[in-house]
Amino acid sequence: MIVVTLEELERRIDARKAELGWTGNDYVRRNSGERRTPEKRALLAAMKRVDDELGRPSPFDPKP
Amino acid sequence: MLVAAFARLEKRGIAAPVLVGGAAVELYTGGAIATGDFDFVTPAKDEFFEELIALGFERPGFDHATGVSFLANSLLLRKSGMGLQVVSGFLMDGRAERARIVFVQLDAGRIPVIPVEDLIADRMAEAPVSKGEPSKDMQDQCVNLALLAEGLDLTYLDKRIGEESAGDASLATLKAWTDDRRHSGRA
Repeated sequence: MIVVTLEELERRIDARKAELGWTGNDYVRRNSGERRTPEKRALLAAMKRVDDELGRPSPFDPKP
Repeated sequence: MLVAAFARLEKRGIAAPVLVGGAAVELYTGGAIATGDFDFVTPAKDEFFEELIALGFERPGFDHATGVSFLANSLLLRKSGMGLQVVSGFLMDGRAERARIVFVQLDAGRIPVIPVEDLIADRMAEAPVSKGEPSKDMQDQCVNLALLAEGLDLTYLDKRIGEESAGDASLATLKAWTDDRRHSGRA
């Protein structure tokens, strides 16, 4: 069984990012959404609706 | 919350579901993708959902009149905004080697995560090489996963890319993409 703590995983990624000269966390392109199933689209829409109802920012809002 | 559900499942003799998809990419790449939705693979969806509903999750799209949810594979937790979906009963339809699953240890318990090689192979299959320009988002994710991973098993990775892409791509394809990134100055 392969077990790694979250802290160790993050430490390894940070070390590798430093080797590559990467900073921040916007270096990975988000999914375009083109391949989402109808159920996934509906789930994400429901998540956005709940965020809107509760007046909290949604990860699906456009960036300011 | 998820870990609590996993513990309850394990008490029933059911293996914890395996995290796959975008959230697994997020985990392996340092939190670059944060949409709050999680995809899991488990043959015990009904039991998993029972435990999650007992912990406060709800079925989006549930019709109380009919007792049916049109989102049969999804749950939502209102208080945090988290959504999750069971996308399959078996990890990579049984083609992934379960001994390679990575258990990420949190304070409250462990979350099983798809092996990074299988995740790359899955993303490469979504970025068809021979059918014109590959999907840039998937290509980017493959390259980042490969560049950030520690101790990739290249033999297994090559085999899995070939299987998932039905021979459309290979480890050489991934290396070419990685070289392109290096030459572009972004790595």
